Amino acid sequence: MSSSHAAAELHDEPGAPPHIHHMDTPTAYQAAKLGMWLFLATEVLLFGGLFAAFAMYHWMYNHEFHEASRQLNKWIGGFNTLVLLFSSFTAALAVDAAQHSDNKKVVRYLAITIVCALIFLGVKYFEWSGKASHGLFPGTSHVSEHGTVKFNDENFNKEYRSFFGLYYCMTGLHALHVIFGMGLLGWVMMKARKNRFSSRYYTPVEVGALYWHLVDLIWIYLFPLLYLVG
Amino acid sequence: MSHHHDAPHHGHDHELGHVIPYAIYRNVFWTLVVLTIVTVLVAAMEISKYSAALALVVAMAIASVKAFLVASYFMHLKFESKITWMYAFFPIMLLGLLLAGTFIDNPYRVSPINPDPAHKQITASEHATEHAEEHAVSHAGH
Repeated sequence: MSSSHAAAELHDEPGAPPHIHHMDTPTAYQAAKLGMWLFLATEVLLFGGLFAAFAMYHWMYNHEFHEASRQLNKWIGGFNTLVLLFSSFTAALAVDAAQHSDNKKVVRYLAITIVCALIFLGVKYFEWSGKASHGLFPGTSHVSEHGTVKFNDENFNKEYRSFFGLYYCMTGLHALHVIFGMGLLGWVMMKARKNRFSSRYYTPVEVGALYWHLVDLIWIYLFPLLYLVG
Repeated sequence: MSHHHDAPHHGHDHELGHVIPYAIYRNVFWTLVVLTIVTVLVAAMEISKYSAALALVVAMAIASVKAFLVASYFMHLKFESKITWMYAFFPIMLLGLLLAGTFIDNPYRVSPINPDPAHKQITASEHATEHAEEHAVSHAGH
């Protein structure tokens, strides 16, 4: 890709949107994307450690993990999965809108994405507080009598709780990523409201969407492991 | 580095990245929805009662197809340069090493419920009954 070719293209655009403050050369655009992919690689390894811990404890306490997993509602988890998949879909459409220089659509699609993220966190809050009210904390020494399952055996409770320790860790870290992603996409949305993006400059939309897709990707694996297989 | 690919362009001479038709995003999304419903329904069938390994393999296979679709189309990985592919696959390979190491290590690990490694795996419930007295004694001590 020669830079002179790109530079020549930047001049002959009579109907360009009025508020272009910035243009990315293909090199800058590719470099920014590659940087985000490198960051996503570290994210995969961050969650990878927890996945390995889960695999190990799952092997050690196979039966208990299966029983503990049944305490989670797979239909609610499935609903939340669909919410997150839809938010990923709208994030991809926001990039598409930016590629077509349609800032209004970028704002609209990112707003839908952020609303989906709020729904996801809301559902997660009710799941967490529901589990906590049944005494299913990470590492508690007491399981409430009101819980749907009363495992009074000390030894059993210990392994049962190791599932919830990992459950809170993995979904908690994932929720932090959801919150951070909402902030990132909100910032991109503010830029789109000021008509900052065009088919020649939409790097923040694409990089922000890449981060959001990773949040979705991790949930794609968390959901079956925690809710379905146990 | 090149941003020109074999796939046809869609009338955007000055485009930076690859523009994908809306129909592809839509089809990918509905495929993801169907796969999510399938994986929940398979779990509801409780095949894990007959074979926990089969249930795990089916759930992970469906998850991997979903992850492949999201990465390929939503994240545009299908149209990215080779170096981006390498960035995406390196952590997955490292994660594979970590998981493979964990699985190879597990059967030989001395754990509270597996005091006899590389031999019969004692389930925790059996262990609980075997050592119930021990625990009662240790807790009375506190």
